[in-house]
Amino acid sequence: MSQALRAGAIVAACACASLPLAAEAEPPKVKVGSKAFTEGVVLGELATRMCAAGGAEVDHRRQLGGSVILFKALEAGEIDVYVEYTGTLAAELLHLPDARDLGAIRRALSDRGLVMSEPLGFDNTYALGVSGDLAAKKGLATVTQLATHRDLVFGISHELMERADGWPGLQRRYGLAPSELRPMDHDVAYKALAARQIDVMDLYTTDAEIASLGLTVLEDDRGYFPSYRAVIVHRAELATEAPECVTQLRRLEGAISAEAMRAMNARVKLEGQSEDVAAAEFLASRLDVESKVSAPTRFDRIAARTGEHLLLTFASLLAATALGVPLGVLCARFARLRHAVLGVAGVMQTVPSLALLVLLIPFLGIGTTPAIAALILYSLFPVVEGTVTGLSGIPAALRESAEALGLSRGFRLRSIELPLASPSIVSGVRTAAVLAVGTATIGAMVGAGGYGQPILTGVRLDSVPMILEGALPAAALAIAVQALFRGVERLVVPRGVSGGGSR
Amino acid sequence: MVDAPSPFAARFLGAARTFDARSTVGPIDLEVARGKTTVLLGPSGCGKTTLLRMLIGLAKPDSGRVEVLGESLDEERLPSVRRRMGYLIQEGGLFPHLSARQNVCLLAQHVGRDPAFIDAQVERLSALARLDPQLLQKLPSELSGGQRQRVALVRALMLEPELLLLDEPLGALDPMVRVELQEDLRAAFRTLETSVVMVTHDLAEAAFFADTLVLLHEGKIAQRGSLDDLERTPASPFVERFLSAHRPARRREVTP
Ligand SMILES: Nc1ncnc2c1ncn2[C@@H]1O[C@H](COP(=O)(O)OP(=O)(O)OP(=O)(O)O)[C@@H](O)[C@H]1O
Ligand SMILES: [Mg+2]
Repeated sequence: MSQALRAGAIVAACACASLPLAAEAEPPKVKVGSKAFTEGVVLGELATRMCAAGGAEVDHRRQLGGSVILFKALEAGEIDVYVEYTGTLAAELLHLPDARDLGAIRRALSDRGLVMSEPLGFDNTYALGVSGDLAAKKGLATVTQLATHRDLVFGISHELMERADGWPGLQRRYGLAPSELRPMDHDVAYKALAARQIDVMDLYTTDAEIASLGLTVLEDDRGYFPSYRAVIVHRAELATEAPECVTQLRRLEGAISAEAMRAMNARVKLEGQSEDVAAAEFLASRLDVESKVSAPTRFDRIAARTGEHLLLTFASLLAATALGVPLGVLCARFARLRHAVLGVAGVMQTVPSLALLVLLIPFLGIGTTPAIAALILYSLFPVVEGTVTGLSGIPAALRESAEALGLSRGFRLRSIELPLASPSIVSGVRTAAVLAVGTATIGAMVGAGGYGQPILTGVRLDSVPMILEGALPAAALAIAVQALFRGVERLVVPRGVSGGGSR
Repeated sequence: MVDAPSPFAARFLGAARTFDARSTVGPIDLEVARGKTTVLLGPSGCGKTTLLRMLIGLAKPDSGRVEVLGESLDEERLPSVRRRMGYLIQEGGLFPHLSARQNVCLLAQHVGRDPAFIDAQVERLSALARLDPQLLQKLPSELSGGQRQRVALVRALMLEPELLLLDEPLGALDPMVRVELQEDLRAAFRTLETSVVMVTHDLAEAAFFADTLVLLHEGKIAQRGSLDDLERTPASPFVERFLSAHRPARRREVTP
């Protein structure tokens, strides 16, 4: 997998540049995870480069599905370290009442064999923001001051409107009195504020737009919003396996201000630089850590994603066929098994892929293996169904002539029944293949790469070209698979058996 | 052949099979004489095919039993008993994905018969069935109905079965080929001393082949004997009606 190779090459280059003498001992291997949004990937890249500065061989599993996937992967030792927010740790992952009680979070983590760093500096929580002009004109710096004005239009995101700890409580805590309250989409709110259609909006304190639009973030002076301070979480063993990495990671503590984070986010989201560049620039200027930035060409990227996608699709398809056809043969013979299997497989089909991946992490970890396992589970149903349909569609006269000839059961299956059922079996496998090509995009959520990766990145950066970089090859692959199966059909389905096999 | 050959190739011992309230076949008591041809006759739906299916173990009697070639049809003995039998089903039952030749040779190859034997058999039997050897390369879908029927006949005869079950074997043939084939088949059965159970709708054909004629009515034996016996002393009004309904066909056959 060329991605791993490339990461390895970068890391080797970094390690040589920063620690020329440490090359003799086997460098420790460290796996860094990151979440699937811009700030998450930038933070993951920062952690990756600091570990590299600590002499480790680092693999950055970037933009994994979400907090739950990352946390489970960390607990399972699939990754060694990632950057999380205290609010998420407290509320979603550890179920603690207070995100500000760092001691409680630390204790809960240590029970799980995990260690938390000091906060990195910024707090990426909700806040209210106004345009710089308005703040200057009215002398606004805090939310309390905002409450004295009753002539302002508020544009509040749907998410905040609905949250238990959202708008209603905020309004009560500060006695806010908007002249008008407009629930709206977060991205739309930025545009509305720039066009002066609204005066006040809610935002995340590290949003890139804060700097580019020159907004003033009002201080939550009564401490209403929960705290989302970024912290590094790592496996306790990392301190002994790669002590120098932990030392280097700790240099990030208190080093990233909200402005710095905003600037890095802006580099990526607004200026179109890669996360690697944003992180490397920050480290060079603030921490004096030099690290190399690789810039693979679009062709390299597509080639790498294609390799990963083909692996996901065909490995799962092969396994689903190898399992599904025998299972279909058994199902065609035993009605009760058929009802059970087709029932379960049908339900499997409706389990959301992300949920399935999360369920698989404790058993299979993250990466290619769980992605293939999930794909097998999805692809199994059409293969089994095609096999059952094909076998049960064999005319009784033919089945019985084979039996009456005195052919053994296995021989009958191999030489008569499977060839007669082959149009339907091939068509089931083809359905599974097309399904797998589409569904393999979920692999990106557990770090298996594939065309899902540029799609995820594109959605996150709101970049249509990036989305197309994944979507177009995926569509082309689906078409190619269709064509491939016309060939397979010609090879596998004997002449004389009613061809077509369309279902 | 088994060590102590019984006089019967097969026996129905009170065998009966009920499909639903209206269609019951049996109970039947019937011996199929070894080396002789038994012809089953009767109106459509009277149970002829079902009796053949009982003999080959495709239909299990739900009371009584069936003995074939000295064996009762247990599940594990079935394949080996079946290999000593030939069965030509009503619709032919050729495998559409195999050429005529592959259809014919399938079992012989499966049981590991010598290729020289197989070739000789194919040649001899296709000549017997008046089947152009060229046609053997074709798929069943590329053959006419009558050609398919003859391929199926060759397949049933391939391993020189001790007991041959034929369900309307000559139904799809034109009268000229049919008459020729009747002669050749009867001669072959006599030479090989094959025990045959044959179903036909044609009274003349029945008379031509039958050592014993069995007339069935609504799943039961209405009368058995030679055609003469049936004509001279019909056992019931049904037998009389059946014979008179089929007479025109017979007269045509008798004239030459
Ligand atoms: N598998 C089955 N399920 C239900 N009923 C059946 C089945 N096989 C046969 N029967 C019924 O049993 C009776 C005898 O059928 P069978 O096929 O033996 O008739 P047949 O004498 O061969 O008729 P034909 O001359 O039309 O071929 C019919 O009433 C038929 O409907
Ligand atoms: Mg019949």
